[in-house]
Amino acid sequence: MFRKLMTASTPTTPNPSADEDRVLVAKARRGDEDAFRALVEKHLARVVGVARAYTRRRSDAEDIAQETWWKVWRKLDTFREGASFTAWLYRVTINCASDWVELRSNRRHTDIEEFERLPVADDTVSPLTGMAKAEFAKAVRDAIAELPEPFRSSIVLREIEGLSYEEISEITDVPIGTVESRIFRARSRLKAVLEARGLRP
Amino acid sequence: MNCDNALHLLGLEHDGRLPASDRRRLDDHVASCTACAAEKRWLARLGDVAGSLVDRETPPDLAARIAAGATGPGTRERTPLRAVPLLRTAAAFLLVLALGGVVGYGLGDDGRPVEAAPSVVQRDEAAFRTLLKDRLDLASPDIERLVEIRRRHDALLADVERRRAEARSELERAEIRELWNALPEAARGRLAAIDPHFVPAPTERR
Repeated sequence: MFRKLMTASTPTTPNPSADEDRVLVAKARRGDEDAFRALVEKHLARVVGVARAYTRRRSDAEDIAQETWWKVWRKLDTFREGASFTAWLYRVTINCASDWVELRSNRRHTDIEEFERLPVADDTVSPLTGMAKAEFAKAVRDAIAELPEPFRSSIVLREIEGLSYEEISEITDVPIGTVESRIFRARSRLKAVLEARGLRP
Repeated sequence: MNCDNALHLLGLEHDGRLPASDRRRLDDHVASCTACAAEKRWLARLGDVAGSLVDRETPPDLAARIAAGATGPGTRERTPLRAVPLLRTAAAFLLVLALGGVVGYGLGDDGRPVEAAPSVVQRDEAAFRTLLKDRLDLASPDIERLVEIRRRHDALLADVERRRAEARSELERAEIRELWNALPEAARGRLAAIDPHFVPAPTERR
């Protein structure tokens, strides 16, 4: 219901990239492997970028990408004509990455309840004194990877992929108000994790 | 403006969604509030490092390998995840032989929805048959049995995915309902004017 409302209020603008996707998807659905390969080449970096936020190792991100495209090929027939291929691809990627984390790690993410029990950082701790930006970035990446869903996907899509609330709403299939709430809470939790580790951003 | 309002607006400002009408009030509050000023710095720092987290680097041949692996006859150069279903399928095969036709239930996860149109599904099933025949050297009855196991598992998986989608949808509705019910009566009208997405269906209101 909410998706319909949101979609109705979103102005449509010409999108050559989306049009190209539609053509490639239509061909791939008919079994055109060249068209499918073109889709992979066009969107692989996007898939790897999201997967990378879920894992610490690049090779793991490639595994997730491999799994994602395998599912895309198998599920092309269920892709709704006229919908955004990019949004659908993000959704498949997030599901694959989440499943991968669940399957491959032994509770690498922290449950919501655990966040509530995290200690509050000591105010006297130095705010990143002497810490290189790269180290801080690594700490942020690790903290994001440990966020529970749906906060993890929300922060990845917003902060790393740089998507708009409207795009995230379409991908995650929730109202914009929920997207806003999730991103707000994800940032709060991210900050809490970093503070609990002695980092005061 | 209190700090709760300011924190909310700082998030919107960070995402470029701060209403112009709130700009002045927010700036005034942040100028006089240490905690909110620190929050603003944190968001800036997060935005700063987020750019460096983007890592899309891939080996030059990855796209070609992935495309070939997805559309090929079930074999891929690097298949850590798909190796599991393959082993499970092989285990099902052995079980079939050992028990004289008693098949394992729920083996052969492949993620394919049963409602998929024939083109890709049939091509994939043909590839699976080729794999069983050419690489595992199986006889026709055994192949049919394994294909049937796979189909059955596909149906189970499609059902799980459907239930999962329904559960997620119900949770979202519950969230909206709970938020709405927790609001003071006077605020509901204002919220409805700001964002109709938060208004639950009439039958779901308390």
